Amino acid sequence: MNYENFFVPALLVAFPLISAICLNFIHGKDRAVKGFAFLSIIVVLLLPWITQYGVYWFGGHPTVENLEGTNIMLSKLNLAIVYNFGIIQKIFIALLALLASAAILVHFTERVSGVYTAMIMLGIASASAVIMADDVFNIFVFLEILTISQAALVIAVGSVRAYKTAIKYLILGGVAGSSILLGIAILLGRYGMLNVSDLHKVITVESQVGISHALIVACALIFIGWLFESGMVPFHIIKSDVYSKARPSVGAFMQTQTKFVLVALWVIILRLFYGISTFNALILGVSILSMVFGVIMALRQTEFTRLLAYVAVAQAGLVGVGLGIATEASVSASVFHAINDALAMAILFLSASIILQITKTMDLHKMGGLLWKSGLVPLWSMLGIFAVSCMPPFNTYQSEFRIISAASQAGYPELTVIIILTSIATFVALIKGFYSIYLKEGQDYLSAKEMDRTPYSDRTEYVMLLLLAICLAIGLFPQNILQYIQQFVSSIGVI
Amino acid sequence: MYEKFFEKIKQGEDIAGAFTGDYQMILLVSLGVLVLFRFFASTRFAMAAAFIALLVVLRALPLVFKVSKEHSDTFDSMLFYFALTIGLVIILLGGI
Repeated sequence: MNYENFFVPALLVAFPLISAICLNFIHGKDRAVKGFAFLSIIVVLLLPWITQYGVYWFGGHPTVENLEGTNIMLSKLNLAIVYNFGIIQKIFIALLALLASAAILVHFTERVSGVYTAMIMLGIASASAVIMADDVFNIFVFLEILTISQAALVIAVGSVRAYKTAIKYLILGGVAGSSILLGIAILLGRYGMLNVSDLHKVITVESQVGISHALIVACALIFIGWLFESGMVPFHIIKSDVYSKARPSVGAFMQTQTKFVLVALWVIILRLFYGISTFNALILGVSILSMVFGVIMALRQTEFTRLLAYVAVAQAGLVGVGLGIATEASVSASVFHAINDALAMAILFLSASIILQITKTMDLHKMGGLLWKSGLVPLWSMLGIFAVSCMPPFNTYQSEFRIISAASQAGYPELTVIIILTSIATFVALIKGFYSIYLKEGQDYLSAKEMDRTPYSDRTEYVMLLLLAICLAIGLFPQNILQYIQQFVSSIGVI
Repeated sequence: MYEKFFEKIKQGEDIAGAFTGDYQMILLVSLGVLVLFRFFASTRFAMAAAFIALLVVLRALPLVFKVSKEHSDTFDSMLFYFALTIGLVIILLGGI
């Protein structure tokens, strides 16, 4: 058997899906769930590194014919699924697998639930599919699965507030999903195809004559879906609500999903609708609003996970700003920032997970005095705050500096001021949280025997350390990743 | 403005965060207007517009409490902004 051909990109979606189904079946048998989930984690972590690069076709996609009146070769209409797997997709999926594994490992400290771990696996499968797919309908299907898995992970918390958030998220997700589907229906009705590369070719030919109203409406509808999936204004409220109501370890995973889906979906939308003159301006506008409103709301929060959730939204806005500027330098910096910020934010969400284990609350008014009672966690948290606030030598500094440079070069000096002040405000918001948790007096929630050192799961701390090391390594040697991102951005072909 | 902030302190609000938020709002509005007008009009006109916007924002301070109020977790508010966004996006993309 040729093992090289066995590890095809489809396996990155198929394995977590099969694993999710199996975990659902064995739900209730705790030891079996734990064993199977542990095996699944190992496979999911290994798969991105052993999968072969390239384009993978399901269903014999490359059947071609001439586009009438031209010499452009196009595929006949079929519902084939096409996955592109390159180095950037590998980095995205490997990071998703890492944070999903961290969430499952943290969950092992409680009573293990098969359904809960299955939903995390479903989250990996759906986000991986969206990252790799070159087919709009396939992307829609997996975006829906992603929404459902995220809502299920919020429901798993079991509080009334979490149920309310999940229902709101599902309803808004349903409407946003319908919006995407209607946009796809317009594209299918007008061009008779679903493959993004094919649609790109046809729309490019058509754009030479002019942009049709049907294309603009399809763009608007799919753009609304992108806003929801990316947590941009006006969906930043529900997105932050979802991050904060889920368990913090899962929040780390969810914000990573959102940032990678933001980039992947933007690439698809850009390839289809780059001809619409106001498209990039609109992306830039919503991204600036998300960045500023995200950080303003973070400053106002009294719940630590909600504070982190709004900071995550603001950072997603910063990623969007680079995409909206739409130069090769800004897009490269943005994709780089999506990776960097996902890592840095995960450190803080995991610190929140440890704090929750100790204090059983996320209310900043009720916390305090943990500085000398939680080992080295305050130190890792402070370094995490530096990383999220884009301070050197961390990775986020490298990417934010490049976004600022690109904004300046592209003729937006005002944006550089807004970005720098957003970073300062982010630091203020996070330091406010740090002060309330570690420095402020008052630790009434601790029992007498816990006053010297409080118990928490060491494995969460190890994952934090690993993420910090990755952040530092990327910060010191950014070119090792940036060169692949620059190649990826050049290959998009429309920037 | 002092009275408004003092009132909020009495209600137990975090004023340091509110001040930082207000600085962000001042910047967002004045620089946002500057960018917009710079692209659709001349630089001189953009600077004048940004200055007027700055005066209007300073007059309306504190804005952060109003922004927070609009960021409620209620479903009707979310749906309202969702509907508003669909309309704006279609208009701004040139569909109407």
